[in-house]
Amino acid sequence: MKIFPLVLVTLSIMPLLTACQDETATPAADTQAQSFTQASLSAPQQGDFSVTDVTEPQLPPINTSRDSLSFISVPANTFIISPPAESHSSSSDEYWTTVTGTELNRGVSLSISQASSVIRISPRADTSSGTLMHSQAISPDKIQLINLDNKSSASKSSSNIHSLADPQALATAGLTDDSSALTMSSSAKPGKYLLKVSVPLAAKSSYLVNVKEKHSPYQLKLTSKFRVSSQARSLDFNVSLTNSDQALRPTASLKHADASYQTLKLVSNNGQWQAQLADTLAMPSSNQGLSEIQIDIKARVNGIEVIRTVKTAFKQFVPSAKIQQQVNTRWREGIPLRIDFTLDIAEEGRFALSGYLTGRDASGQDKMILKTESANWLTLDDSAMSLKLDPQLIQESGLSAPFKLMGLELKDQGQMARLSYQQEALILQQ
Amino acid sequence: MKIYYKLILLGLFISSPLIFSPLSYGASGIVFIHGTGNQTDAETDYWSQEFIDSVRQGLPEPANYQVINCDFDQYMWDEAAAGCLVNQLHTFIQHKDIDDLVMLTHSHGGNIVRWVLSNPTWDGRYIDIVNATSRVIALAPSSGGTPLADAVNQGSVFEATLGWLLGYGSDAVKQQQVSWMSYYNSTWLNGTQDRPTLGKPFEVVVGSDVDSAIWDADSYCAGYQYQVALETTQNWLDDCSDGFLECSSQSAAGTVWFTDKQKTAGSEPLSHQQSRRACFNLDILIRNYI
Repeated sequence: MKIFPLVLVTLSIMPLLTACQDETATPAADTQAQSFTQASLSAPQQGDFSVTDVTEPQLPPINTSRDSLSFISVPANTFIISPPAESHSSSSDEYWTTVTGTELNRGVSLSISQASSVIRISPRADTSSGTLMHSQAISPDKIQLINLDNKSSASKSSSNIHSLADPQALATAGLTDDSSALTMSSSAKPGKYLLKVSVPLAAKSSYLVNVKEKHSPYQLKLTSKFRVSSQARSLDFNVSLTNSDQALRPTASLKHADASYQTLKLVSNNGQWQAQLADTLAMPSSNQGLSEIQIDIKARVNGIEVIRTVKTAFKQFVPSAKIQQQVNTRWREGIPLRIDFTLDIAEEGRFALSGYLTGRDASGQDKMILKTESANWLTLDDSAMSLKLDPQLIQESGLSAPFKLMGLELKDQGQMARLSYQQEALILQQ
Repeated sequence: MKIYYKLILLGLFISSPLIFSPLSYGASGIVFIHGTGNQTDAETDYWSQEFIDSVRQGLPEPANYQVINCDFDQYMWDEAAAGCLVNQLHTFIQHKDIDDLVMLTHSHGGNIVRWVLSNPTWDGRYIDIVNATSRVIALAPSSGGTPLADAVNQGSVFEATLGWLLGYGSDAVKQQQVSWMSYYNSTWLNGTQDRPTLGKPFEVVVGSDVDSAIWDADSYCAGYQYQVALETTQNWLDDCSDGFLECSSQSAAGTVWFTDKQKTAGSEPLSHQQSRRACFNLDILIRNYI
């Protein structure tokens, strides 16, 4: 029989968890052996982050639940509490651009940096009728690819194409957007090619042309932050192209989850780039989903023109809450029972706190006992929250004081945003 | 094997009917949780009767199974997605007195289950499910997203609007873009490297290759019809993939139970379509495991 770690659950629907915020020494009848201590959160360390000025969110919250919920669990003993990652990277060996039906009929010039590249044409919007319509899918046998650098073979499109795939076939393989695609032959040379469609396309129809160059030595890498506050006026990022020491001249755009799109001005500062966020349309229109920064570059490397597009996602959020410095801890017989917090908020909403309780072992090492988390709907009149602890788990751990609250995290469940994190938040002292 | 929990309800600040009582259950059960898409008959359209009937024979009471039908075209936290899932799970748990729940997920279904297990304070209904769950067997989960989701989401406003209308640019597909899953894994989903564990085993079956040779009969077990299409889409994926997800994405969360060829009949690979069907003894492997 498998025995699983003790899992403790508390579900409370009343704001009773917060009722003792102002108590100092007057025990209730059922808590005669309990006492309270007040302490300040520790000073922030490297990797910690929090909100400075609390601001009122403008968008409807995702989670509007009024339930007060608490949950205590025992993490795996292999888990190490560490600050959350601040940034992530994306790499690209492809590029994409949007063209019109007219351009495809006339021919679109594409830069290809290696043989066996894949060119995908995906129908997007057609506004030629005055209403938004789906552009017609293109039969792959109507696609021509002509090498502009080799005049003798300019008319022999077939010699540049290894295989063709139609939308139905690609959909079965996971590309479900009505794409057609061609794979270039292994003998195709890097250079300029003309992509043409021989069937007449509506002039105002639009198509996404995507060139994928798998295993290319020229990978565009973008590194940027996971989260950007509404108070930030710029978005920092790093961008580099492998196997190239050329100075890059990127262009950038911001795309929200609703797919609204705007070009960003860029400033270079000692190798680091800053994308300036305009006041208008800088924030998304919904809390759902993420925003993306997209970077485009064009470079000439070893005599070959290399074009790349790369994008990565991040969360734009309003700094809607912060934890007040003073916290109260309730004790019984030397064991902490719960920790009470008060949040500064600018607007009512649903917020979540979590943290890890540690205790000291016989050798003087801090060891994890439990994870505690809670969430509640807070108002301007009642912005108190508690993290409950479990005395039985604490006693069974064999660990003793000093107990510490580690990895204290505050999230806004309305925005789905992490607002603050503190690695070593509090030493609980009776 | 039945798994026992020691559950304690604390506090009991009872002033609402929204109270769960996981102590009252007592049987084992399995649920089949589909991937991306809005399913109304996943038993037929997503899984197959053959697969489901075979797998559930591994239970002490084979009738204790449920096939989930939800709208997994939505973001994982949406009421139509996770909300629908926990409602159907809760009904199943109550109806069958389940306290030993095995969740068998495919593809994006694994992300929705991870969302529920990772966020017990998001919704009071989640806690009941967390408590009843013994483990998750995740078939080809899209834990790290897929570049194919990025590909169909390239473009700007009009394109995305149309994509949504046509069903290929759903919120669920958006969410499974690689950098989006990187964010969600870092902030809202547990179980990936350097993140808290899920609290329950999340055991992954990885599909590592696609056998699409036209002369190979094995290719036709729920297989791909279009070899040229696979050859095309493989350009967006690593060399180790099931045709839709890279192995690194599938194994990004939880622990790998096995990679297809290690255990399948004839050491055949499991494509993304085959990992939800009775192909190469996958059903028997799961049946014997639960």
